[in-house]
Amino acid sequence: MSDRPAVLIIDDEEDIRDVLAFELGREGFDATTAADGLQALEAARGRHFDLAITDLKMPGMDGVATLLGLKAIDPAIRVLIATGYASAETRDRCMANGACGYLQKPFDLEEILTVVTKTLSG
Amino acid sequence: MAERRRLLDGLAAQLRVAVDTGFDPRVRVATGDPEVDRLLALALAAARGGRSAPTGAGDEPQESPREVIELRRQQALMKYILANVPFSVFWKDLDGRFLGANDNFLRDMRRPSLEDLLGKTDYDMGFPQEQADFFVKCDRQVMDTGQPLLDIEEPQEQPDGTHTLITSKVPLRDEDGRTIGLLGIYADITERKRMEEELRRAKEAAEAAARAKSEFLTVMSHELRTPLTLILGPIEALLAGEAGPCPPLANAHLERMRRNASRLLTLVSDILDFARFEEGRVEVVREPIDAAELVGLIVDDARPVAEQRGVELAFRSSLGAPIVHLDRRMFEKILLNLLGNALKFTPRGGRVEVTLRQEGTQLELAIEDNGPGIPLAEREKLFRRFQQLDSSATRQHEGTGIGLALVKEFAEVLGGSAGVDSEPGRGSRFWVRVPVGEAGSARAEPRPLARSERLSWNSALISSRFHQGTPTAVAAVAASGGRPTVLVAEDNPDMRAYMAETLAGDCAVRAVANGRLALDAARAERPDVIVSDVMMPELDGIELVARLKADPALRRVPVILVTARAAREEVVSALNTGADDYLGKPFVAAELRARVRAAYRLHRLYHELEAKHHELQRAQDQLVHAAKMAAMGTLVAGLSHELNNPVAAIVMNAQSLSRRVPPSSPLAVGLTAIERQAQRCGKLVKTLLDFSHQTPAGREAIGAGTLLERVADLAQSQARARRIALEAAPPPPDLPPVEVCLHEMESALLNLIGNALDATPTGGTVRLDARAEEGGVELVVADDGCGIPPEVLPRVFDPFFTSKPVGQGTGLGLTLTRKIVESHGGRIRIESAVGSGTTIRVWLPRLGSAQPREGEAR
Repeated sequence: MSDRPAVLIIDDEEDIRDVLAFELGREGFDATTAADGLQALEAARGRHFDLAITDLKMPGMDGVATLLGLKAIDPAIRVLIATGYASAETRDRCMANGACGYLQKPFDLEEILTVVTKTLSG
Repeated sequence: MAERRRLLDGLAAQLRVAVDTGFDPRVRVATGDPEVDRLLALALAAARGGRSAPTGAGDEPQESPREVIELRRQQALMKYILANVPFSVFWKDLDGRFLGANDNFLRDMRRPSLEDLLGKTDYDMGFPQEQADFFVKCDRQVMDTGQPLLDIEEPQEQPDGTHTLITSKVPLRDEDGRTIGLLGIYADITERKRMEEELRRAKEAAEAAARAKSEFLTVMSHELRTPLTLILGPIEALLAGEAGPCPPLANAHLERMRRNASRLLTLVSDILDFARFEEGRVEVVREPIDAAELVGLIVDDARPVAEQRGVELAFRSSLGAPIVHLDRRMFEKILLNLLGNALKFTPRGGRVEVTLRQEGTQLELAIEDNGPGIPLAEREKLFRRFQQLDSSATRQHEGTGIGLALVKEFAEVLGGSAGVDSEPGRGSRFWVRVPVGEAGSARAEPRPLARSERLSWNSALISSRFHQGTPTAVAAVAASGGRPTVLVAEDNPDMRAYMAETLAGDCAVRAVANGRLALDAARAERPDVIVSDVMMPELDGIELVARLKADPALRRVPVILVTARAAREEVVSALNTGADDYLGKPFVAAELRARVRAAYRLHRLYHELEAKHHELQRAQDQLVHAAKMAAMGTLVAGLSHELNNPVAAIVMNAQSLSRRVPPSSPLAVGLTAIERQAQRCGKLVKTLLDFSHQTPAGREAIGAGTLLERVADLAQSQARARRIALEAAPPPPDLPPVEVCLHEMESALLNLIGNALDATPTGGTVRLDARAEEGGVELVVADDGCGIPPEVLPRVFDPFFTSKPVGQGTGLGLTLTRKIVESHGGRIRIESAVGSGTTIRVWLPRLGSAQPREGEAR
């Protein structure tokens, strides 16, 4: 039992996933990674996550489908969308589906750490 | 009485025949009464104007009534045709007097009946004098030479405007062959002309759109290459331990960065190939190659990656005659793409097999995996151009999306085909079949693969692909521009001589002993490339770069700095100053030559881009309205994901590592440079994305003060990172609201602030201000930075113009900003003085008074 906030990182890019997990771990978060939406849902079934950070464009389930799936499994989970796919319409679509934030890749580590901390404290 | 009646009736009938046949002398008319017939002959002679002397009835050749009936039938047919042809027909005598015309002509001339036309000339028809002169001149020519004039295209003034006529005039002759007048026939092709013109315009617009699209891709790719080169260089150097041994943690981070930078480079190279296909500039260069050897080498190089991924990799060749005639580059790319995909998508523990075999005259290259397989519906889409880059958020199976489309293009341009057989759950088999040309021919021996051509998988299968573009490009340059001139600055006389000698083969070399002399020499005669040592008396290499980049005339000349390996920090500061490349001492001659060639090529490219920009600007306007633009928006949105992901990986890994190394260590300095270049890539992608963003998003009302505050908040972290104060004055209470597309206007203002921050030195200030101004609001972004020289000021809004060092600005920012501001009915002004900073004023109309969007009226 850890009182560290649990964060699930979902990205099909291993290099992004790993460095995010590494940094969030260093910042005192309990970080778990998933390579796609299905893995993410699998993980969420096993335990509670305070926050999920998901890519939008992934093989299989896309970010919005993953978001909806996660919310269905764990209504308390908050979901941040982090994507390189940029358009105002996608942002609106994510927010309309219950995302708590939308980050445009590439982002600064500082930026994402700040957003994660703010989201979890708010 | 009855007898007389009969005679008169007969005469009338015969006269009618004569009139109907145009008094044709061959038509025999007679009543049978010699008295009456004599009178008839006289009348006919008179009617024929004496051209055909009356002949005695007895001498006339006898014609049977059947022939007469036949003649009449033909006359009637003639009349019918004349009345119904879709042409206007008229005929004139030798003096240019109208003798007759069909109804179409009468209608065109607004003549109610033939009587209103007969005997008139062109000068009586109400034509403008010049036109009548022209008609008469043509008539004269036809009648004087006896030669017809066919298909004269001429304008004709008619009451409803100018019509375009296509006219033919032929001489009319009598039975002796003498010209007695002319026959004119014309058609009104005004409508056809108009349609042709419309068609031409539509075609031009479509071509311009297509051209702009591929140019856009080319520009984007080339722009991305520079920062990528600047990322890969330091990463390789750091990995090689040139900045001292790396901690184990650093190695993993650096490997990740390298992997992603290479990936970006591959993508960029694919985009370039794609653009080439789009423009139809793909040339097949066949050469004899040993396919089995080539494939074997590439497979060998991929083995480490396969092992790392836990995938078994095998290669089998059953080629009887291994020498085939193929385009080596294309064949390699096909294999690289297919193999890369197979390794990427085959799960751990899986197996990938590459096979090569001959089927008749076809060579089949197949890559088979036992991965998840591909559903039929997906399979159909796989090879389609651009479709993979669609806007749906689900990422397609194959990753970049361009790779397979390229495989297909390459296969087809080689005269073959590409496809996939797959069974979900069992795996996929991607194949390419290409004709092998003179297969099996032993006449030509394949060029043995040089050591340098043996590709190494990791960063560079890919970076070797990147470099492969060079030879052709250099050849093209050499053919078009002669030898490049190179200026060498080096204080050591031996070294100077060595460098000059090394380069003398390819270039015209001038060599000088220090930076000051180099600057003078460059000003006296602008070189194509400058190669300079760093440590020199009087003016060192770094300072030389700074001076060159500050000189508008020399700013674009690429500079390669040569530096001792130990002085890595120098390199970083040199690159920061704006040097384009660097070369560590000691270097081999080939390396120096290669760098100079590459720099020269890049330099030329910039010039070409600049030359193209006007064309692009024009095309852009059309593009905004062309349907193609939508396709381009989609393409770019899809691409942005692919480009941004590796950029994100590089940025985050660099930042993550930076946090753990001493701030002033060489590693930290290198990382800073890498990160900055990666951010540049990211900015580039974003700018280009914005530039292609075509759909006018919804407008919303917002207080001008709020707008400015939002933007200030967004830019604050950027300013803080550079230790520049970003101050937003509290907005005055009377500030009217404006109606803007928030996303667009934010981009526009952020771009202005970004520019201001770029121009401001550390410790400086950028001020934001908003005030009510003539029916709207004025937003002001002011910096106290370096300012813009007056000669540059008028050009700052041109696309691809940039005041930043080569490669550092995209040159799209201000163009885009103005486009956005103007689309909001606003305007943008720039005031600047060198040394005292720049002020940009954006005026926007207040809510409710906005003018229509530019372009909507079109």
